[in-house]
Amino acid sequence: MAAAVADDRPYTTQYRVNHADGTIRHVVERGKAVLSGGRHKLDGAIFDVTEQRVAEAERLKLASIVESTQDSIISTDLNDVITSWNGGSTRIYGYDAAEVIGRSFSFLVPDELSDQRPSLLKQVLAGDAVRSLETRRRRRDGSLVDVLVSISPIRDSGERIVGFATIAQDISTRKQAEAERERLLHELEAQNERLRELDRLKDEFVALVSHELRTPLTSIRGYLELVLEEEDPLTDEQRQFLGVVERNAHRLLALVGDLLFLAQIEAGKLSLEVGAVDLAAIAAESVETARPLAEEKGITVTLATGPLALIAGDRARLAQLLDNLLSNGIKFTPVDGRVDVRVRGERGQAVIEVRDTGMGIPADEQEHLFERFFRTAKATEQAIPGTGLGLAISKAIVQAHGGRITVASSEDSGTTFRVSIPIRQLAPKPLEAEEVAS
Amino acid sequence: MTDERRPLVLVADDDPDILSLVKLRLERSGYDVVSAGDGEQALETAKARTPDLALLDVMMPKLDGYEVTARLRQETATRHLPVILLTARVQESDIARGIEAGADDYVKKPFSTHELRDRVQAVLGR
Repeated sequence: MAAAVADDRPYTTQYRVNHADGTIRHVVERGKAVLSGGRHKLDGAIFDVTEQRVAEAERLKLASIVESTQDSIISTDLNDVITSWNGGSTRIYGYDAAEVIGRSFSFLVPDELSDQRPSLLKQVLAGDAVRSLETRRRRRDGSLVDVLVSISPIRDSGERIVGFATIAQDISTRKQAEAERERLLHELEAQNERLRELDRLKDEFVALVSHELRTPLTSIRGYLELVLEEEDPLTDEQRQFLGVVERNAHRLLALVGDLLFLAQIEAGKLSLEVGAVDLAAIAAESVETARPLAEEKGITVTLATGPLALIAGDRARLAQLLDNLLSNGIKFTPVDGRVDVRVRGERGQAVIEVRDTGMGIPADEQEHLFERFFRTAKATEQAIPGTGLGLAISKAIVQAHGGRITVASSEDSGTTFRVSIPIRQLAPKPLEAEEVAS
Repeated sequence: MTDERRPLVLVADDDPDILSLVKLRLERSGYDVVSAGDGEQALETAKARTPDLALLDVMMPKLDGYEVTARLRQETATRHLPVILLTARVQESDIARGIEAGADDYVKKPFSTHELRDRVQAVLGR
């Protein structure tokens, strides 16, 4: 001020004064020194700017809030020309305020959404603010960013709408996480689909292979039969060799049959030819069939039958079940052992028990016994022939009849398989991959 | 024609080994056999030779056993020709299809030739 006076220039100064009412007022003094009678006299006016100062302080406070938020806050006028741009906007979109103020908001909107903004502004003008709308914006580098947008009207002191405040929250991280989750879900689904497809292919493959093996096996067996019934051009040794061929062809055939049967079960295509079945008679036949083999090993086979009504079942499958259990018993029982078969009715169930005095099955192996291709360690060790399919098939047959198969065994004292089938079940359940308690 | 006419059986299968196996077995059992290697040939032979029985493989090239059976049923000359299907397909639906087409019986592959002969005898009533 002293300099201004010395140079004879106008001055402006601000200071506070104590008002007579006890408040402090902010004042601005504008004036000029006037030389009068060899003395400087100040000539000017003092303005009370207290109201402006308070409003300014308030504005600064709001501005600092606007600046401090991570969200983008942009104001535009009625033509949607940008009038203010906060730090959050710079952070999200990459532009500085200086680059964008005075430009139309539209450069932030991706081309495919260019129709959206005008209709939103129309909505705001109609008095309906936009709340939490998920949309996309284009950044300075051309990339897109997902934002959650609210648009409110800006009003002047006369309550007239003079512009729009657009607040946007960057939700790209959340969207990315969502997209990632979605992608993983899809991937899992695709993987599941592939696994199902593989499973289906496997079943089809097994069915096809089994099927294709049947024709050559028909030839092998058929021609063997023809040779063996020749009037006697064969030596005993040749006849014996051909017997071996026939036995093995038969084994191969049984294996193919088992595989095909399991493939049908897996594909859910096993169906029973249900009729009235006399289980005791089937058991008697099985025992008769098995007896020569048992006698060869010096094993005694007995059959005890109790009173039992006819049951609804598939005769051939139930015979297969009994054959399986009986041949297992004989196979795993040492010389001079016994296999006892019991068939009886018990509380509405047909019960079959096949008890042997064989090597027994350790507890930890019992739970796997009915799985396909499972063989006990001892069976493998002692090279007892078998494929591990018999019990899986047996279980499937029992379940198709709505029954249960269980095993009780202790090492060295033998094994008992117990089958129970409901007697009056006329419509056997379709097969389920249900676990059997062992 | 011989004095004592032997029944004539038409055998159709695309596997030549099976074809001669069945032929041998049936000839040994007192039948005359005429063979065909595919479905079309089977149909033609059936019309030309009017056999007493047809043994048809299901899975044959050109015409499958079902189709041959169905067509035999449409011709006056072969309408009542007994048909036994030979099939490696053992689904119930396959069997049902054969019966629907008009087959009299079916034999599952692999079959024992004795079993086959027994079925032929049963159908021909000998």
